[in-house]
Amino acid sequence: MIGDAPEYGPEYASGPPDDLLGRAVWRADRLLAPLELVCTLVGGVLVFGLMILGMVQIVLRSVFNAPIFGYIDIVEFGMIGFAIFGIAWLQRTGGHVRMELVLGRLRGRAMWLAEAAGAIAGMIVVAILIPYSYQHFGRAWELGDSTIDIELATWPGKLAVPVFLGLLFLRFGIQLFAYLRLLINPALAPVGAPHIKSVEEQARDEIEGAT
Amino acid sequence: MLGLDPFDTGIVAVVFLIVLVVLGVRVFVAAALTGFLGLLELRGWNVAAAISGTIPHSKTITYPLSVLPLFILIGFLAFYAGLTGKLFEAARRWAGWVPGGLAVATVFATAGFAAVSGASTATAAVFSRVAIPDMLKNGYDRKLAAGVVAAGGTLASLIPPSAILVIYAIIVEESVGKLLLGGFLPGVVSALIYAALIIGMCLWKPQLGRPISGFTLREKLATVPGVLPIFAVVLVIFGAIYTGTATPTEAAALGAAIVFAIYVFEAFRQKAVGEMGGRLKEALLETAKLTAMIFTLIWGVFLFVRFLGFAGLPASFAEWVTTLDLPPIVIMICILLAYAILGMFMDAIGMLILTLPVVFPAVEALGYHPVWFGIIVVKMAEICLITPPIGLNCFVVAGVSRDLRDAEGRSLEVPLQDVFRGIGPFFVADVATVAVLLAFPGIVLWLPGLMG
Repeated sequence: MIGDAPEYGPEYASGPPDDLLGRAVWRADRLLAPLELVCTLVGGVLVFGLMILGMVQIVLRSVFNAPIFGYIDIVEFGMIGFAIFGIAWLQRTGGHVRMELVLGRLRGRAMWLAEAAGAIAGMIVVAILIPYSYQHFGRAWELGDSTIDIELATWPGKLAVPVFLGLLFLRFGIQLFAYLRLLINPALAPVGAPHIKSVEEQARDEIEGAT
Repeated sequence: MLGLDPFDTGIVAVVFLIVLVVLGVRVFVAAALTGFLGLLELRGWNVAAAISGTIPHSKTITYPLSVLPLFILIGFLAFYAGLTGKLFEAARRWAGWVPGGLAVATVFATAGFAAVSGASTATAAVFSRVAIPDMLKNGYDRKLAAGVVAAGGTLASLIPPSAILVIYAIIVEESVGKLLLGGFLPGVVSALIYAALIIGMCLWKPQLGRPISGFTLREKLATVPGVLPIFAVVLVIFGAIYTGTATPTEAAALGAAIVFAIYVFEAFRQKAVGEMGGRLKEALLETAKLTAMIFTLIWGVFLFVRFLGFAGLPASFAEWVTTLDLPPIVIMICILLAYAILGMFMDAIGMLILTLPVVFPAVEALGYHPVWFGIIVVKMAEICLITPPIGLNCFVVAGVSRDLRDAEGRSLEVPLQDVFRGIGPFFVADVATVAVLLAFPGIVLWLPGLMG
């Protein structure tokens, strides 16, 4: 099920581990997770809002022949919410798509090394994108860029991109240290390190999500 | 800088991307990194910076994509509204009298549920719980019972609303409405082929599954109100898209609202209003997660696609494919086989987003219709869900069955190898369906063609 249970599963123990790095990772995760969760939930609420808006639009147009002025502008304005608000929480739960053909065969240090490398690659990409998407926001801000119909400012949506990529960067950072900790000592219990899912585990997730 | 010409840079980049993806780097990370580095090599720092700063916003904030989260929401709400049980009951009363009646009913119920859900594995999971105990109680063969649920789940991706078809439409810049309409008939044909297969098998070996009969017309009609919302959703989404009176997003909003109303009604009826908020929160959270996953994948891959365009790779690949001294149908079969293999190791959405930018121009150059190809490719991806070694639907069915008990507390578990054995005939039926769609593209193209 969704909610608190699986996200605070084995890799998110309820108490801090004994080692120093483990405690740091655990604490950092605990600081960031509520924020990520709330942002994702806001994204979900925006989808619900999109449903209501669509209903209102249909009623106004077909019954009163007066569609919402700038409906498409409003939808596009809100889209950034469900497009990116959940990006960090998704990474925390290991939900971004990847191929696990090779990873699934690795064990111990080799697996944690590959996971750490993946986190570094993620940090590099996000680190590249943050300043340039911020520039994109800066241009919109300076020019006073707005949508065509109802002249909604586009800068808030453009600002959301570097902000939430920043959150994702922090999440990748926590995961990097979580994996490095296990690389140093694979005998430790994983903390803050979503690990590879076997097909059985994936199936279990699907079952829990659906029933 | 490497100093290669654009085409060679493109080849190096594709190899680099494949290595990253195979090593298990998140697909959006691998695609965005490769795209950025490629743009840097071909166009220099300023262009690479400008494009990569713009795409995450510009490629996601487009109105046609706004239909996706609503489709996803419809699916989650439909689970909580308890539509699955009602559908199965309706299907077993109406279709139970044929040989293998309960299995046939399962096919029709999953097809009906596909009309409010676009998620294959979730559909298989839910129907494992609803249909398998009933089939086993009536002495149905375990392998058949498990196989039909795993196979029935795959109908969700073809019958609208289907998230994967929307994504395909966005990538190849085809009308979302046409893709959704295009999936309908092949979905129905798949369901009918499954049903015919079951009837044939049970005529040949009646002990596999006997008919369930004896329902009066009144009993049959009693099931109708429970499944009306599904027909309403189908009617709304199809009607709106077909007549063009509403955009897919508006139609999906209305569909979601109908399912939400049923959900609220059921919560009151079952006096479970207290749980309603929590479940809605779960549905919204899962919707947001899945939506973020898809959007992130889209912009990540679009960064790579922009670079590919500069490298001229899709055009060159298309040109090369058309100069091959082979009939287009042979090339098409090779492409489909490649997808079948890739789909065994990769999530369907990730696989499509990653490969289509290169493959699609070639397919178009061969003269195949974009809508038709979309349906075929999605069908291939679905077949991979029931094929070893990954075959996620089979794992799901085996996993759910582990917890099932009959009235006397005996286990109703269907071991994984039995699920895979049970799926065999359906796999053959799916291959036959693909062959039928290859031979008669009209099945796909007729409905979208009427749209004009």
